[in-house]
Amino acid sequence: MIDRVRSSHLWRAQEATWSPARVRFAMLTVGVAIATVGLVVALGGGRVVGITLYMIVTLAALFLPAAIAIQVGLGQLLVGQLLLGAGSVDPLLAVPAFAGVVAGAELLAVVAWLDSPLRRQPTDAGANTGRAVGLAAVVFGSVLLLVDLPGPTGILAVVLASAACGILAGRLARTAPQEE
Amino acid sequence: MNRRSGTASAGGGGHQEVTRRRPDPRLPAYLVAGFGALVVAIATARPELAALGTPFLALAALGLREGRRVDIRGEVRLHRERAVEGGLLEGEVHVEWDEDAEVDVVLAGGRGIRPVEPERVTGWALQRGHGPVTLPFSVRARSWGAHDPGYLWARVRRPGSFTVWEHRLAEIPAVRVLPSALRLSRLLKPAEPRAFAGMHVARLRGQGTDFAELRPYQPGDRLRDVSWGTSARMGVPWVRVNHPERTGTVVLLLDSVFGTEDEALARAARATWAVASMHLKAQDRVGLLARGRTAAWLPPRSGRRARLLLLDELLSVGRAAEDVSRRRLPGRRVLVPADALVVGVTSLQSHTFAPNLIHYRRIGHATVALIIDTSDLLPAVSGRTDAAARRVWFAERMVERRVLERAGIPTALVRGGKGVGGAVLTLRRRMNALLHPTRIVAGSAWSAEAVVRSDVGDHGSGESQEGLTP
Repeated sequence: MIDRVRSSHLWRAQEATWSPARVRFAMLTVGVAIATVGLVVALGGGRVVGITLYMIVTLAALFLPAAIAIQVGLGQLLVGQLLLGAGSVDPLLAVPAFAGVVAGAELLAVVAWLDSPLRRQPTDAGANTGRAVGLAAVVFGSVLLLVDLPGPTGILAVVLASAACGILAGRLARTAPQEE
Repeated sequence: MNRRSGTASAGGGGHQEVTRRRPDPRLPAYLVAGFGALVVAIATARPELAALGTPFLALAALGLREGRRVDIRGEVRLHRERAVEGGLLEGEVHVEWDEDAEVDVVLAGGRGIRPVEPERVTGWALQRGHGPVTLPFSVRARSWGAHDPGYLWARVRRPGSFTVWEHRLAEIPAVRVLPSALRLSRLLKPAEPRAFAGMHVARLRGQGTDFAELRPYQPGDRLRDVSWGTSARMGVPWVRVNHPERTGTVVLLLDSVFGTEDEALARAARATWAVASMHLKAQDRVGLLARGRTAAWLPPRSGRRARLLLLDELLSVGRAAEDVSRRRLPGRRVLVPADALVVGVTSLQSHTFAPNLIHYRRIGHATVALIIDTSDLLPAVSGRTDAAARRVWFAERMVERRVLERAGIPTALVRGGKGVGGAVLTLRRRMNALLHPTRIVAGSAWSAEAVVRSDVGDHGSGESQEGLTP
């Protein structure tokens, strides 16, 4: 038990470490968040409350990594409002906004990872974030295209694609080695 | 230089390997977002919403794909296992792994050492790549004692993985941190020196170098003892008689309840070690008796072996005393040699130490006490409550000290950051005053009450003493 407690505090100092690289990524995260909400507003979506909350949670997640889950959820709400709201836009125009939400989450994870007194260097962080954003955008756009397929074919394709991703993620999460 | 090498590695020396998995903060976020969006899409019959969840599930699947464990091994080598308080211990960490991964390595989880300033941890964040790597390091010996400085930990992550593996790879070899030396050139005077040659002047007369008296020549006296000057003046031969130098026995009674301040511990250790070293150099037999958070008893011995044994015992006491989770151990009273001078070393934080010391006084031992001054370690006063608490703190210690004085135990204050020489000199004077009671005059500088008053009167800052001075 003592080892567990010690270990959880092992990799972080008592107070947060704001290295130049971490500050840089934090500023980039804020910039991406502003661009995302700007895009949502430009496309006619988003309410003041939603946008304000999204920005506040993004800023909070810079200090508290657990808030990334809330940032992702609020991002989904913003993009979902674009897709489903009155006078909804062309779905493919929502792809950049969705990519912005994913980029925000990925960058927040990098900021959290850099909170270490060990002076970590984010050499691959940019490339990893870009890869994740690209994959998410492609999957998002693909599923939206499948949704546009007429009749049961579209629905079936969406269900199959979603089920494939869900099963894969669920299986990997379940079969990943547990604590030894 | 004696360069002993210590090594610890995984799987050796009873080290139990610990491995655990920690998820990236994105993993729960993506899984909840992905499955949540799918559920909402089904519940609302809006297939568009599935598009909001599927990408997150795909990212989670990608992140978990690389989640298997990386085999990693490591060891820690110390070039030396001994250091003086505040000194540097150097060594190197060797870590091996075979696959492409980002690895963080850190030395942590133990006592007695700390990173060299300005670093906050002794660790490395290694760039993505393969092992092996060898990492030289320096750590600072923090506080005296024989310590288990902790473990070598590694945190491994494959590129793009949402899973971080933490491994406890090896134990850091035990280190022995010696108390830093205090200058001490004076000895306490043991009650009754033994019949072995040493540095204490015995009451008996015999072969020695310290002058005792002159007396008329008697048949059998050595010619070399004749005092030619006196003989010339007196007209008959006179001889010079000296005191022989003998060894003494000193038992150091260490109060190992020192609260949680490392510096208080260190001061006690320095004082104890300074007195012990000086007496051992003077061929005295020195023993150690510890009471408080740990109990230890090392019977009086002399010589080089005694020095090492005493140091070992002192380091064990230091390790135990630093363990704040350790409870006070009741120790039985130990029968110390009848001729022993019992020297108590205490900060008067334990209420049981004074009765213990008084016990040795009452059964006839010459007994003195070195009071370790820790008043400068108290936090700064901010407000009336703090000031009152400070006054109570001082009052409690003054009462304890007076109890000792009234029981016939001379005391002297070892001030923070200063040598123990002044305190030993005070004790010598006080012991002489006790041996020659005619010198004690009520109100004089040497009376017990006056000494306590003078010590306490300039104890710490002036403001802290308000209301204490009688």
